[in-house]
Amino acid sequence: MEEASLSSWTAVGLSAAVSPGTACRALVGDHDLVIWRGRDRQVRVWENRCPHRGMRLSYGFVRGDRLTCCYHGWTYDGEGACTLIPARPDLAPPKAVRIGQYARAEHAGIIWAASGSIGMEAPSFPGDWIGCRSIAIDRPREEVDSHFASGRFILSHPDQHGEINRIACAPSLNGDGVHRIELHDSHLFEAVLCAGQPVSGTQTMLHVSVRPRGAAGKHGEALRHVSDWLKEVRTLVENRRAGIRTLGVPRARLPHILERDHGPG
Amino acid sequence: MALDEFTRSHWYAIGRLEDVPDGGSRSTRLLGHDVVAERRAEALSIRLKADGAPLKAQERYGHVWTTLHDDPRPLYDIPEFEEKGRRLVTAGCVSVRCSGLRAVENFLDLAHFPFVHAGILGVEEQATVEQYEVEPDRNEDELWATSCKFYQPRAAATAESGQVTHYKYRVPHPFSTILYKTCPIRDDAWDLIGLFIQPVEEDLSDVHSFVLVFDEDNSDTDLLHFQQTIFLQDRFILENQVPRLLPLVPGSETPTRADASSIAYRRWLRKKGLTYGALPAIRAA
Amino acid sequence: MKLYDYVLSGNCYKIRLLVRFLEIECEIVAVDFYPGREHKSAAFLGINPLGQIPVLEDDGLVIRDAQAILLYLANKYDGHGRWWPSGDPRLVGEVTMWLVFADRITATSSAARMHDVLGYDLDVGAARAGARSVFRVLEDHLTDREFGGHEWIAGPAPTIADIACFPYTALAHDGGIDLSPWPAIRRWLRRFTNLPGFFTMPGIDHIRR
Repeated sequence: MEEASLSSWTAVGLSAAVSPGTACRALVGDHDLVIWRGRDRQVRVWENRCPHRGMRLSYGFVRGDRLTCCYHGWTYDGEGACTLIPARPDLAPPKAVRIGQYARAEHAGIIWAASGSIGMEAPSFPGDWIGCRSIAIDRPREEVDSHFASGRFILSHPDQHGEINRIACAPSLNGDGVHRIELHDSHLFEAVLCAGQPVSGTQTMLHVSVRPRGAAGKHGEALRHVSDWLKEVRTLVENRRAGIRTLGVPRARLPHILERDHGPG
Repeated sequence: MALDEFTRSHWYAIGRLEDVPDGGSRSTRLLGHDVVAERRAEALSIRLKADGAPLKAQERYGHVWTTLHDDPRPLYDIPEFEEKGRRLVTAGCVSVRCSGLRAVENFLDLAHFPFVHAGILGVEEQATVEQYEVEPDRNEDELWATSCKFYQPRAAATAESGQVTHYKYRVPHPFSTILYKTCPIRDDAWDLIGLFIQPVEEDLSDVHSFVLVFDEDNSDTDLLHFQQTIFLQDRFILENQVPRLLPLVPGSETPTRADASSIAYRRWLRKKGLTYGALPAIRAA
Repeated sequence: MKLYDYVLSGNCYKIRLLVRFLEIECEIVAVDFYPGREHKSAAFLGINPLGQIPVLEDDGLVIRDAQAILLYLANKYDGHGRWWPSGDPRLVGEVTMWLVFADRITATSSAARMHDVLGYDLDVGAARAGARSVFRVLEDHLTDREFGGHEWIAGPAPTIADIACFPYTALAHDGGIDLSPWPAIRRWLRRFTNLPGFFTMPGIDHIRR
């Protein structure tokens, strides 16, 4: 498996998936992360471990702009400094108690993280993106990447006349595991961004955003369309290794969502 | 990791008496070794599965005990088991992916009650842990935490309403611990709840527990359900502590004065040279 | 009404949840499922020859299997038809489909938990793999539902399908299954814990927060 060191910017979740007042867990190889967002709407990515007794903070709870460990209620402010020890409210929490932070950024509807010492800016993508979904693929990221690079995925997209166009994905690579697919003649969306999180040697989380085209009322349709395509991508990547045949359908005709009618309603 | 002499020298519960009925057997694992307990014509025998070597066996406190040692230290006394009128409920074995030492330390901890057992053993509004005493006994074979007290909304299966519960904790063995708490129906007695931990591997534990109480209202099954509810709440915590082994290096975690029993327990383990299930200084380096 | 109950059983918990949601009275009979295996005793086999909990007794009727009990309670006691929308054939089909699906969650996620917590002798690798494929189906479904602006498994409001699928999904962790790969499932679990009257059982308290 490639070194999952967070030495480069890595997608770790969709912005919309970490709503204010919630915390969740993300794994990048040996890095166990808690991602949380306070009422100030700032997202934070920390080491997923309370320094008190080692409990994973991702099972904690967010109150206001603070994260509280579910084991003893130790509470941390947005900078990772302990502000409250409920068992000893009289005690000023030791200054040395500070949780390890990762650099984080939000671009294109995706939360990105990197080790704190990273010198470069997070990847940025112009335009208005909407998070579509995160999808787990039970293969290492380099395998997912090589499928994208091979142009094997075909994204169908309806144009304004309801004609189905097909684009073999020859995506631009924006650094590790990030694939951007531009579509010029789709009436649903302009571009799709797929960013892979190398969870482990056997799993990748693909975080996907779209730049929709047209009225907001149509966005649901665009998102669903891309989500269906992602399911096909998952099947294709996973089955390839498993040796599952593709029902004799010529490669150019996969995925079979191509056969669906996506004309304008 | 080689098994340290202190850990090896103890007796371990490997099942309830009912788990090894006459004519029956129980296969399990202790300190990384497969062991088989069986009973033929009422006689209990325990052996290593690998080479059939016999192990010492005894039956006490509702459980079957064995040891890997040829000359083990005696199994500690729990005199309350002899008292008339108490009821014993053995709650069976629950597996947890963590060092047994983590489970003992959690059991000794008062400060988690309002968060992990909210509404039963504590409430967040009254989370303060008052000062309590922890010290080893004269020979440093045991650890005692005394004069602990804590507000509890529903301290026991018997309790109808909140009360300040008084506690004592005893650690007679690196992998066993017993709490003594205010008996809701008798002023002159303590109720006992204890863990007999069977370290399966360094980071995998079979936790046997018992309740030994004066209680005329609840059925055994009620007591059992209460005990299992509490322990399964703890289990979620224990499976999410990182690392799974107990760090004995001072400074690797952050105790405060509310963690006096944890500090004393870790110090005692260090002093006894225990390494099994622990991250001692030498391994952390 | 009487429910034969085990405090660590997700299938019993789902009955207790619906009883609470419907605000009906029910006597709880604690069964020593573990370690006593009381559900396999002669006395209990007289109540349920399958030797399983939960079992509900009501008005002389003895009914077993969690999903069947949910259907019975919702039909009999939910005057508003909220939890079992029986007037809509399409919804009946969908809710029933997910009630059946709940048994797949039990067969996989609950089995892994029985192995990990209570030491049941079974192929835990197969149980976990099965749970992951079941959760993937649920994740894809809930993702699609969200695209349509829907928060629940079927229809515009929570139904007994949500109750049936909730416990052993929320308890997956006990069986060594981390729910991080399924964000739509985690959002749905959190929504469920915000239902009026919701209460937890050991092992799922963290979802509430």
